[in-house]
Amino acid sequence: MSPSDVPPDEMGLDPNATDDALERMLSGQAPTTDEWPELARFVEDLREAVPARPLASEDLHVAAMVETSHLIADNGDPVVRPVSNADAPAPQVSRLPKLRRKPMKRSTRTLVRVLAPIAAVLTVMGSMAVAGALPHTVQKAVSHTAGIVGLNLPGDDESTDVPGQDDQGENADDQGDNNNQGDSSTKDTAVTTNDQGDQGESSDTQTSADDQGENDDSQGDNNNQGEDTQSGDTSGGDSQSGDTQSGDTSGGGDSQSGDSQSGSGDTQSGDTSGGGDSQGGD
Amino acid sequence: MERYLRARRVPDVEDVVGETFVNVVRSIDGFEGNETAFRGWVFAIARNRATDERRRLIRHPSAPASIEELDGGGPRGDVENEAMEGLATDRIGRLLDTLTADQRDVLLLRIIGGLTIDQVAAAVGRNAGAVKMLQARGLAAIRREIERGAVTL
Repeated sequence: MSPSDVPPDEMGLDPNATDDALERMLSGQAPTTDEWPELARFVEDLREAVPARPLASEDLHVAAMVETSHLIADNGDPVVRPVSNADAPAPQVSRLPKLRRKPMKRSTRTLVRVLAPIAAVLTVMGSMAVAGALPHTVQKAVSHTAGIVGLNLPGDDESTDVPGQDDQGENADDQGDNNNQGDSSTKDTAVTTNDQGDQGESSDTQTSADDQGENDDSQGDNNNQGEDTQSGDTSGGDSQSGDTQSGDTSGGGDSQSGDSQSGSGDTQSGDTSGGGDSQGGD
Repeated sequence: MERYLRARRVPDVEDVVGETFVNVVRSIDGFEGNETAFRGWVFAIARNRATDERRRLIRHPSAPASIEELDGGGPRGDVENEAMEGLATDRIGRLLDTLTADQRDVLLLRIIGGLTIDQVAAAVGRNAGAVKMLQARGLAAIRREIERGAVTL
């Protein structure tokens, strides 16, 4: 095998012929040996047979290349690769320009991890507070806090949410029904208010007021009796009842005036000093 | 490259050259190598384009007048020299016709294209040893034809 990896007898050349001689002949340089004059002439004639000529449409070729490069650039692909990547495969294939994610700092990432659940809980609780779906105590606290800021949330008004008060209202309605059985509508209204106090038996804070209401009720009854007295009854029992009322409340003044019209002035003086005096006067 | 394509007798050299350069621009992002490899890579594209053009003409035969025929086909002054050049070209063509396609390609790329063994290997898709073998066998065949007197240079 010759240095050119060609069997020597296949070309009919000198086995010692070197690749350099062939290279010089094929590349058009002056041959260093005269061993292959026919081949050297063939190579020369071949070059002369195909002379170099300028392309007739060279400008069109250049224009086509420029247009192609523009189309490639419009698609986001680079027309040429940087020289730094010429001898090595490109680490990545360029595509359309796209936004790249910037890594977040570690402290910022930790802060986000802590604040995100808190923000989520606050959002849910805020929504429930606006809807009034929180438990009573929590809703009250939240609405109170929001009220400081200036937000009106349900649950801030105590009268609307106290269960005991609601019960009173219901009882008052019941009392109203009972009052409708009374004498007149105007008295029913008054009695209704008083009877609400009666229903306040379950309420501890209004016990004293209820008792007064009961007295008021009795006064009303007595007043009604007073009206009966004014209608013509002059019995002492009527005056006694009117005296008793005058000793308790100021509202009894009406009955006293009635009593004074129908009875004696002693009764009035007895009213001023006390119930016992008026009875003694009688 | 244009000379190489003309030596291969490609019908429409101008179009093939233009398509070759457009393909070079389009595929240059996938090229890897230095300037020497780039030369062989461009000739590989030109060779493939010439092959495609020949296949296309086989499927769709036509006989358009080439630019060379329209532009430079007429006499340019020295008739004797032109006749001798034509005869020489014919003789060269007949010598090349005695070679196989691969041997002809290798010799044309080496002599007309001025490529080295490695560049030719890259252009024809073979290794350097195979290219040397094709080159030696092609030259031996030409020498035999010349010695036999079939073709007189």
